[in-house]
Amino acid sequence: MHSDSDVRRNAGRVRRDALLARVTRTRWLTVAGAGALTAALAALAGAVAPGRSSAKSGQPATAKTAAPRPTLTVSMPPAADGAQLGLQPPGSAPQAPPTTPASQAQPQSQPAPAPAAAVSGGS
Amino acid sequence: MSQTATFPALGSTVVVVSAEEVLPEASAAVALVIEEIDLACSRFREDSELMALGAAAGRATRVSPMLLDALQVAVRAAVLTDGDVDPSLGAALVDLGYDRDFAEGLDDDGRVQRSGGRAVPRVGAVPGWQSIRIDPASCTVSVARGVQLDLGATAKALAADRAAAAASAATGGEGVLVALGGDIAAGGPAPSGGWRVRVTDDHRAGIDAPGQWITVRDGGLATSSTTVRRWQHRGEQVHHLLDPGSGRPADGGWRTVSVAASSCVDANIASTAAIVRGRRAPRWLMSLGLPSRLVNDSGQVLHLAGWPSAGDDLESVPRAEVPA
Repeated sequence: MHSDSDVRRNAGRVRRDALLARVTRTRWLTVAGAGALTAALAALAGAVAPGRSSAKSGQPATAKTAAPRPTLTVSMPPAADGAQLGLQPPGSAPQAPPTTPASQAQPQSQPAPAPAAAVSGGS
Repeated sequence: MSQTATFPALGSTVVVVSAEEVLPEASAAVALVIEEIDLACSRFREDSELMALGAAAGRATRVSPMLLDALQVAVRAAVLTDGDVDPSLGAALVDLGYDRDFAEGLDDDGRVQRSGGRAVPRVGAVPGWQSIRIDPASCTVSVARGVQLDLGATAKALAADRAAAAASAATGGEGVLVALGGDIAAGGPAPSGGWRVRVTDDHRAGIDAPGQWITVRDGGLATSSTTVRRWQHRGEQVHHLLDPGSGRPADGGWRTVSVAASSCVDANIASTAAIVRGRRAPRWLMSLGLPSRLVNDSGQVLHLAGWPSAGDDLESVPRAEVPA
């Protein structure tokens, strides 16, 4: 047989256990929420300011400030010289010969030494 | 006293001009360069690199430095002329019947004897130089499947430039002039009066043909003409200078254009593009400051950008008819 005092003692113990369980659950929820909030803020910061994440673990503290910021390496073609940029005129323009070539001045029937010359024409 | 040596190459004639005592060395150096270019760039030799590149059907292929240079020059020509000089017109030339070395089929009338051709000639724009992918770092090239290249417009000029430089070097820095089928390049110092050159429609016609005497001191000189390399195709007279926009022989009103430039390659690019551009050519050439001589279909001549007017056999184009 349980007395009234025993019943009240048991009821108080049950309420105390329920309260402790609620406190424990609340603490876990707080810890989990804080973690999720930290992760969300980190993701937001990474998106807004890329490349500014903290240094890797194990890296000396001085490396954060001493190391140069990594740069993107782009393979560029070699610089073009003038002749590659466009069609270039000659150093000196063609000139009219000072005198009529001998081969033209001589009559066809008289052989004359052919002056060294080249022909530019369609080919 | 300068002397000349002449020998056939690339389906055309090579003329080497230099001092008599160094002419053998100069000629040998020229012949070597031309053979190297031919082996790399010919579309008529089964053993050429260009043919092997076409057979690769789009796969990246390792090529020699010579072919790499020639392809880069060809692509540069296309870029600088907005595609008016395009190396991807090989198939269009074949469709018009130009499928072998021109010298193989010449008859007495100067026409290629055709035995036939495709049943339906292709008409339309050529594939375009963008179908060529060049990786200089790995010395590899890929050409889109089905695209046939023709480097004739620029490879011959490149050969002239290289041959002149090589000949001058082989002779200890002597002045050498190389004329390769009408494309001319100067290497080393010029004689005191400059190199004498006869400018005509057809380089085979010789120094007595109607035209003009000029002297050049440096760089290159090229002449493009619709009066040469003509043949009959299905009852139609055609020539080898095609408009890449149509795949048909250019018909812009100029029959012959000669241009002087810093190199024979640049001169050739400009003269070829001028034939294709037609009425737009004079303004373009003047804007570039390239001394030029243009002969229209009526045989009237126009001198531009410092090209001398004196001594030309042909009648000048009336000022009022010069395209604005």
